[in-house]
Amino acid sequence: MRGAPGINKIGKDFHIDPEQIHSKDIMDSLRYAGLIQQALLPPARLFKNLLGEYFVLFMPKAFVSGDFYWITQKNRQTYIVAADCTGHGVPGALMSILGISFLNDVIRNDRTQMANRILNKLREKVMEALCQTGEFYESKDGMDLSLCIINQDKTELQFAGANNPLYIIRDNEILEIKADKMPVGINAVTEETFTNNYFEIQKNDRIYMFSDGYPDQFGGPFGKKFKYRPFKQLLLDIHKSKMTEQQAVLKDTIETWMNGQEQIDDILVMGFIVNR
Amino acid sequence: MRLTGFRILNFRSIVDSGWNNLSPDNITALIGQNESGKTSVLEALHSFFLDTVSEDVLRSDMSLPEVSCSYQPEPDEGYDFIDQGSMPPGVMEAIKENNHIVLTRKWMQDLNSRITLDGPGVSVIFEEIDKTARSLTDKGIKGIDHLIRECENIQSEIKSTADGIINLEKELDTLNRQQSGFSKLSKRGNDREKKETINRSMEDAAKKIEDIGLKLKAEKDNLQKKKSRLADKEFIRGYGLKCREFFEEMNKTDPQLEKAWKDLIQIENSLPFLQTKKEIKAGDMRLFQAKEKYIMLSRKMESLKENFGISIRLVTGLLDGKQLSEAEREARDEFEKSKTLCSREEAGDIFFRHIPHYEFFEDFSSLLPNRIDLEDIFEDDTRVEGYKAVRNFLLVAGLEPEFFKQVNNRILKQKIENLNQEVTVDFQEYWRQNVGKTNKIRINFELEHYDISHPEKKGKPYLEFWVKDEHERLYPKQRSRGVRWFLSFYLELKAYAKQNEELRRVLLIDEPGLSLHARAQEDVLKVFEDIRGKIQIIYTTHSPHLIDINKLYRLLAVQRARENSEHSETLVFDATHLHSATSDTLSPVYSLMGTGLHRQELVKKSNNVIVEDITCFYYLSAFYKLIRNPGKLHFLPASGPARVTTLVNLLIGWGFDFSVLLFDNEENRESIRELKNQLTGFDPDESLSRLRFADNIPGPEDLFSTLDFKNHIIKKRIGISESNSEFIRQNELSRPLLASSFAQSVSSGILTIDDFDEETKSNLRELFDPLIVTIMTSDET
Repeated sequence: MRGAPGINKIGKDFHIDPEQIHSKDIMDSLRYAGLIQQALLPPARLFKNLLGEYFVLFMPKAFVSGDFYWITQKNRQTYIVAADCTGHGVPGALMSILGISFLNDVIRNDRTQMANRILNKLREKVMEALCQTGEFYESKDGMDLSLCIINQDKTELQFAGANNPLYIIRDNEILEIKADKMPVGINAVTEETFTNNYFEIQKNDRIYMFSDGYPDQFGGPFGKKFKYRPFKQLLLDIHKSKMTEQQAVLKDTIETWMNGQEQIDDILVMGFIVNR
Repeated sequence: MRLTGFRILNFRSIVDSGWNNLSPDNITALIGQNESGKTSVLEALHSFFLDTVSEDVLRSDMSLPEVSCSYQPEPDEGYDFIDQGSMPPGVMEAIKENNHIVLTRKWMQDLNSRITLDGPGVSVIFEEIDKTARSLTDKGIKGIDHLIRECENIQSEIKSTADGIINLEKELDTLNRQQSGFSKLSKRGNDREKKETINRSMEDAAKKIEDIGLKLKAEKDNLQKKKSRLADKEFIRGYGLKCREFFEEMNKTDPQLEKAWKDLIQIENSLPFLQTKKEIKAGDMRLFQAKEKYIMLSRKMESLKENFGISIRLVTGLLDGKQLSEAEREARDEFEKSKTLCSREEAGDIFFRHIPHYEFFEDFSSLLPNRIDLEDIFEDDTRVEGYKAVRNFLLVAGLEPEFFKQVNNRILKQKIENLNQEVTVDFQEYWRQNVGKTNKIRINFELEHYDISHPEKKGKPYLEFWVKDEHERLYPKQRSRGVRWFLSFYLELKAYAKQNEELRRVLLIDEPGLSLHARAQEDVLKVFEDIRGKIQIIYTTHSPHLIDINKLYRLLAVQRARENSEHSETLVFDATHLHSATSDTLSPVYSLMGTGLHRQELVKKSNNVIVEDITCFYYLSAFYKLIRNPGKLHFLPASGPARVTTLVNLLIGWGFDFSVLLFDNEENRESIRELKNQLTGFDPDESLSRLRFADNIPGPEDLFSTLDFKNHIIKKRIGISESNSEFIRQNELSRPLLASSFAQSVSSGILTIDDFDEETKSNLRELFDPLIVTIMTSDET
């Protein structure tokens, strides 16, 4: 457990004058907001029921987080999401609540059961809600997100990614399904349709979804980023362990890497084993 | 330069038209209901060019009109006609970067106007220059006023110091006299005590004399310094007072000049109404005097501006501590430099000289007459009936009045015959109207001489005109008004183009061809096409026949902000926003869509697909073209879901093969129920198999993925979370227009199937595959 952050740090994270933080009310509010956000995230038993063996390493930078995870089942298809909203703290959390609500809505009304079309729809909702039309003065907020849809037999996986890829480990090899280089939100030049990736999955495949918080965390002897290659290697090294153990190793590793340095962003890593 | 766009503010019903781009192919049509403000747009543009507005164009809130026009140089033109050194630094660079200029004419309270060079990047530079000039004047005038006050203060100080010196001198004089008294006293008597007292008094007095002496010296020095300071200041004040004098004189002369200009215009405008020779002579004299006065005041103003311009800079330099010679040199240099650079108004005037000429053709009242005396042509008697039409005719035929002075009558007649052939052939290119069964009209003219039946004109030549067909040779007045109108219109345009071959022109035409038959109106459009190379045409119309359905980019829609309210402001939508105009405004376009369909003879023997309306027709025809299926489908639009049944009955009655394709919405569900009831009365199995229902797709727009809908239909980057058809409904966009524009992009090859994403393609496959199977089956049978 990490201790409560210092007043100055909270002030910085939430863009609030540290003087005001002394107010106990604000501290209580933030703490309570964190609880509400936690309540919006899917409960462990739902993960357990739908995925079997899994872990979620969720380390918000502050009380509330811009990263979120989400899982549901519709028409016997399992939808799993790991998302990273722009910003962290309160702005990120507000965005994440929008994201969760839009995801619920889009998947409830979706007839296609295609991952890329869901992201397309989600992007429309974000653009509409934030009034994004491509003008330079508008908010460029949005989400990086990976979405997997696994069929009833757990033989096929669909993946659509907005900036965040998907890792699958099979036979001691890591396979990366690349994401489209655009967010769920207004893009720099023009919006294009997201790509739908189909992948045949096998029993005991390990599947990992994550935000960029882990590989982008600064630390180590030279204060550099953890980076993706060591992250992949770490997953390869631990993938045969139990999921709960993997979570513990990932957590210890990143905390050791930080070595007392400030956590720069929310961290989210999810993993599960394909079992039939 | 080409006129590329306009913006109109506070002109009749127009509050702010926003910027509207004209069609790049030089033909722009303004469509809209009566009283929508179409003619106001033409009038505003004409006023921009002529610099005249009447009080009745002012809005009730008395806000002043302002019209801006943007221009682009022709590809081979550039900006060589501008002395680029005369433009303030940065102006030409900004113009070249934007590759267009904007000229704005603003009217003032007295309805005089000024034209300025405007546009992105340019306005900022001129504003900066104006600000600098204003601040130079403000700073200079404030400095002078301060100097004058300072001089007065110093003068008052000098006076008070001089008074002080006089008082000190008086005091000193008194003390000296006292001292002298004490000296005398001390020499008298031996009273030691008394002597000591006197000596002490003498010492005190001596001390005081010394103090006052010192004080006096200091005061005198002080006085000298103040005088010298005053002399320095007075030197600058002399220039300052002169400068102020120029400034005040300028402020006085400016309204006088303004008044002289107004008087001049007023006198000039009154001249045509003078009738008697005496009145005319007096009028000319008044005009001469007014001109003299205006010229005199203009020169005075010029000289005052120059004097003020130099002196304000000189005074500012002197106040900044510069030496006279240096300040003088710098002031002249700076002024000369500023004089060579154009002001915003001057730059506006320079560019204005190079814009196209605007002509307003309101009516063509001068119809071709039956005959006209040559004498009237030679004497330019414009009051004679049909004079203008005849002059236009001669101009088009390439004839000067001198042509008719040819002595040999036989040669003259031969030449006229040749010309008749030429002019008629040219005219017939545009006139496709049949007269009688097969003939087309021809216009001829002949030279005749009056006979004895006109004793007062006997022997005098006149021109006689004929409008002929194969069987008849009729005078123009014996022809219909439509024929005569078109003829005059044709002559007017051709003459205009011929007369101004070198000049670019903008023709503003209010409702051309009102009295013409539909085909003749299409001929008017053909004339426009012919002359659009050098002439830009902007016209208003209600007629679908004056619109080219394949060139909707030529349209500007004009309508009131609140429908049916003549008091509400006028809005103008350019071609990219036509879908936001009301259906009443777009009625000529809709009529044309209907007309166009009619001509395509859509009902075929087989493979007809009945769809609910024109929107579905456009989308489905275009989609089918996109998927490039070799089998033919003929989409047949009903005029709404309720009419589908009628069309089905009609086709059954005719024995034609058909299918019905309806989208999944409430109205169509009703139609399907009705159709099923009716069709079961015929051949139930076969008839019902003809019905296709696009499940879960409420409208043809929903066949697009949201992304494709945004990219290819509404062309906007906004988030759309509802269905495409719902988005159109909520935003009150025109479905038929969006559909027709899409169909046009597909038929012209701008859009191909590769431009659409997988979602759209898969929707199209799902929709068309069953239909294609039906075609193949029916082809086999």
